[in-house]
Amino acid sequence: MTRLEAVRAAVNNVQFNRFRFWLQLFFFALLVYGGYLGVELGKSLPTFACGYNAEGRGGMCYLMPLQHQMAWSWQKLFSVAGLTVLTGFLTFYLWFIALNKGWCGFVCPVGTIQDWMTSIRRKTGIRYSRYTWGQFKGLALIKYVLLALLFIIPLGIGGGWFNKDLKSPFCMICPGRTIIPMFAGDFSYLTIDFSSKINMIMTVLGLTVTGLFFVGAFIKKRFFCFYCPMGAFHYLLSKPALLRLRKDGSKCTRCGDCYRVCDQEIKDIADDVNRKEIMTDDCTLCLKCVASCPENGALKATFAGIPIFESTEQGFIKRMHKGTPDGK
Amino acid sequence: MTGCKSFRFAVLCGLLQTSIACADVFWLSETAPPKAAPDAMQHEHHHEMPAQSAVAAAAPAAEKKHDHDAQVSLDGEAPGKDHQPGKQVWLRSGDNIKSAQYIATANSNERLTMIDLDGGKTEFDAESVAGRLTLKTSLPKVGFYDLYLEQCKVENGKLQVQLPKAELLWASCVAKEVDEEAVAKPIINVNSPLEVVREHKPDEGCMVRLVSGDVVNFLVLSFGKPLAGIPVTMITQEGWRNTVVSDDSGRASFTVIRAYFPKWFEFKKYHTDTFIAVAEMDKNEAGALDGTPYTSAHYVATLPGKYRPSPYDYRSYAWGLGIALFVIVFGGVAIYLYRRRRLKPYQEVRVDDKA
Ligand code: SF4
Ligand code: SF4
Ligand code: SF4
Repeated sequence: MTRLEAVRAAVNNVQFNRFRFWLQLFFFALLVYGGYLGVELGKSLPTFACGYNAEGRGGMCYLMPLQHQMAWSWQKLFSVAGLTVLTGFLTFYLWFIALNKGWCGFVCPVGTIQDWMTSIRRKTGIRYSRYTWGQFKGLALIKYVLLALLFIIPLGIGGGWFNKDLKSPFCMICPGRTIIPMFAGDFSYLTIDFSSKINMIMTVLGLTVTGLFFVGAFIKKRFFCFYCPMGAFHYLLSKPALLRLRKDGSKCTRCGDCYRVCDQEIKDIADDVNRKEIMTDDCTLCLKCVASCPENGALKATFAGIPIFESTEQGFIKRMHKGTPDGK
Repeated sequence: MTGCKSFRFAVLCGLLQTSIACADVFWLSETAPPKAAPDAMQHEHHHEMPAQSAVAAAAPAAEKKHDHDAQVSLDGEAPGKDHQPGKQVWLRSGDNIKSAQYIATANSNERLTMIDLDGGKTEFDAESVAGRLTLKTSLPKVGFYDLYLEQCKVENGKLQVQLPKAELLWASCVAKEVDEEAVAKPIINVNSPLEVVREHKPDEGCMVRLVSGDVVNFLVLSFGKPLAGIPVTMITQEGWRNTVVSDDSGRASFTVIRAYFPKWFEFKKYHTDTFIAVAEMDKNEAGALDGTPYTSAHYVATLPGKYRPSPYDYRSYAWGLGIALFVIVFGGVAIYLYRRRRLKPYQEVRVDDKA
């Protein structure tokens, strides 16, 4: 076995869940507390490093500046100042291209919190919920509606149609705004703001969503991600991304293991044996499907075309035997 | 002696307040004179934003906490243009904040000194434009700056020293360039015979401001050293005033009053009220200014500031947590009941299987 092959085998045999847990924890600390250590990754991160966590954030969620810029007066938006919007978007895009939706599977603090809630639920023994196929198809559209509104409402403010208090409509209902600052000790977003009708309505909506987030994420894995406009935005831009999820249908036995572990209930991951690029709009590129697939090379993650993590029978068995003597 | 002085000051101002304000309070204002106001502000807001600088993107992101272009409070001071490096101040005279006159330099040797957080000094010539002393400048980087004017003249054998001061802030909530510790440490002018320094809140800057209900501490200093027994008067935009004599550490404390009582639907959380803090001191010192002799001196130091409504006026944890908890409990119960209902047909199937 060459050295490269040995490394590959080691990677493919990795205790994936444990690895992912620590990686998520690392990114969580970086994005939620990094600011205290002087980390500043800019204002264009393609993930929910919420800007409302003013002190602790190690970078900023791009949706916040994006909405604010969209709310500029049209005159300003379509002038040289518009270049700021363009550079912001390009920075966002460059960040995004590197990891693709892996930002969701490994980096996003809101995603990570949901995974932690899933672990808590698992300990309580309460079973998780799934949508029916009909519900799945209908509800899957919500994220696109939110994404469209996230552009339309601020643009409408710039055009003078809407009230300025609506400047960051999605942030106002985003669970990131209420929850992430709490991790840095700021509970002030758990309030209803009565200073204007719009602020009141939006903060009521925001705390309703926060409540739904806690119930939902407790019984449904990655509950919020299914509705997240960032995820939808990612998908629309994912063509040139470097990290990819590939499937070799000829090796797939349609055992359904990948579907069963998928937090996002993506049927295609098991059913579709024709498509090579198997990442769908709901996928978070968490790669749990790859780790749970027992067929050599049926699923793999590639970076710039190079396979970095591949399903193998050996890896599957190792992971299945986790904690037993032969699985270590 | 000083007690008597403060008494006289308060009474005098109280009496004259409605007709003419105490004419001998000079202060530096960031509000443009009425006629020029709409124009000047529009321009600054829309054209001075540097197109590719961090601030252009940064400013909007800050809006949750402060919407600086939203409203100019009626007749009062304009809310701060804290997100822009461009600043303009005017010299005003009188303790009625709403109607204080814009005035010119009294003599040619007046200079404005700006001191930054690191102690760096910049000198400006105080020029009068259209009969008004004004200074237009662009702050070099994010942070607090103090601007000092010193004006001396001899009147009836008494040296009158006016020491108006302004605190300028260029804040960016996104750039995180404000060194918080440095911001918390007040700027002091060790060359000033009388100075009022406002102690900052520990985390003051872009997000954290003075609000109604806060206790604001002013330090009275002379050449950087605390002065006890000096009356400090805080005067707000709506005409409230109170005088406190500085203690041994030079400190005079006030609780910022609430003077904003709009109807619920007219409430603006970025509403800004202005106050001025005035310290006065008499000294038996003799000398001559430009050849005119004097036998005593009177010093007046001022510092304007701004405050906003307290978040407790418009934010409610009870409602916020109540709504979130309601959704959680209601949602939890709904899911539980839904699951129980769905359990029954499943059991029937099992019975069928056995049959
Ligand atoms: S509220 Fe949500 S969308 Fe807005 S900055 Fe925070 S994480 Fe991003
Ligand atoms: S889809 Fe989930 S993981 Fe991705 S950005 Fe949205 S909340 Fe975060
Ligand atoms: S398809 Fe695979 S990578 Fe995508 S969300 Fe499901 S398990 Fe994760």
